[in-house]
Amino acid sequence: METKMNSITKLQTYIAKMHPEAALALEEPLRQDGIWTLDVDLAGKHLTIDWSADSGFGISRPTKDGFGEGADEKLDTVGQAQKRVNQLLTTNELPAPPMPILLTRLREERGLTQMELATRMGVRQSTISGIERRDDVQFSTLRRVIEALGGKLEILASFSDASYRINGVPFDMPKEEIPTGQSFQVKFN
Amino acid sequence: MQVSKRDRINEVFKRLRENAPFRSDTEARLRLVEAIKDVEDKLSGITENPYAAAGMLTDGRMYPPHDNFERRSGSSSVRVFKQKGHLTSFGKNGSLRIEGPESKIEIDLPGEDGRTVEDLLNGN
Repeated sequence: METKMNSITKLQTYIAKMHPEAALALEEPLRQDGIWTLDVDLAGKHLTIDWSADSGFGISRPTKDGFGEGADEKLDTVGQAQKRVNQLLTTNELPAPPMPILLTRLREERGLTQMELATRMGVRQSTISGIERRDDVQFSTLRRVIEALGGKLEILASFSDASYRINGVPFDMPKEEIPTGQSFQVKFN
Repeated sequence: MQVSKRDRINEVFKRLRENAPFRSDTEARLRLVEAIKDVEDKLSGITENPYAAAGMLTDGRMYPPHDNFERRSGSSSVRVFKQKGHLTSFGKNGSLRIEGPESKIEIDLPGEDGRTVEDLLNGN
């Protein structure tokens, strides 16, 4: 029990030190082996962080439609959680669930049905349905989806000493037949 | 067929409203569990993970509140569960309330005796 308290309170202490203006609310579970919750509110950005010794840290953006779902992101250690929370609080980045769920969420948050997105992309609704079920999607397919949703897809190669934005990825998709590769592929000219 | 998350949540709430009032917290929780399972089986297109435990990574499917998320409610007449910014409360009289982020009440059903979760929390 003491270890459990140390892990979540350690994260709470870290956030309070790094972001003294953040409002923090830590809630203890009823069961000894239950899940603690730390709510973070900083300048309109809300994060909810779950933690237990068994399941580690779960970081989510609390939304109206998130009812009944698991965490957007999972992290094992307090060090990882500190780094990720700090990143989320200092940028405009939001917690991101696994890709198929993220794509569905992005579409629904923009008020589009699968059919409407399919129409925008010039493909069948079943193609969109397939994309939203796969863990692996070709980069070019992903880029078409993001652009059809009104966004822009970027790739960042991050190393311990530097980060590089990857440019020059060709847009080579046939309009109707979107290949469904088994890996996340990036092609260069 | 895949239906949006909001429409699935609304369908769960619709079924709860149709079946209320419930006679006890146990019944209210059971009806919520049944409604979520049936709606998600039919409308989500996401297979239920039988090993889904509290604290898992989301798979996009809605699951009923797990015991691990139970909190102290401040009343022996109310059980409350907190997950992903949502509070789900069951009153001993069968009342049920679900609040979303920023305390927005999504559904608030009185129990068999007409009292709500708020009534029980206030000792009424």
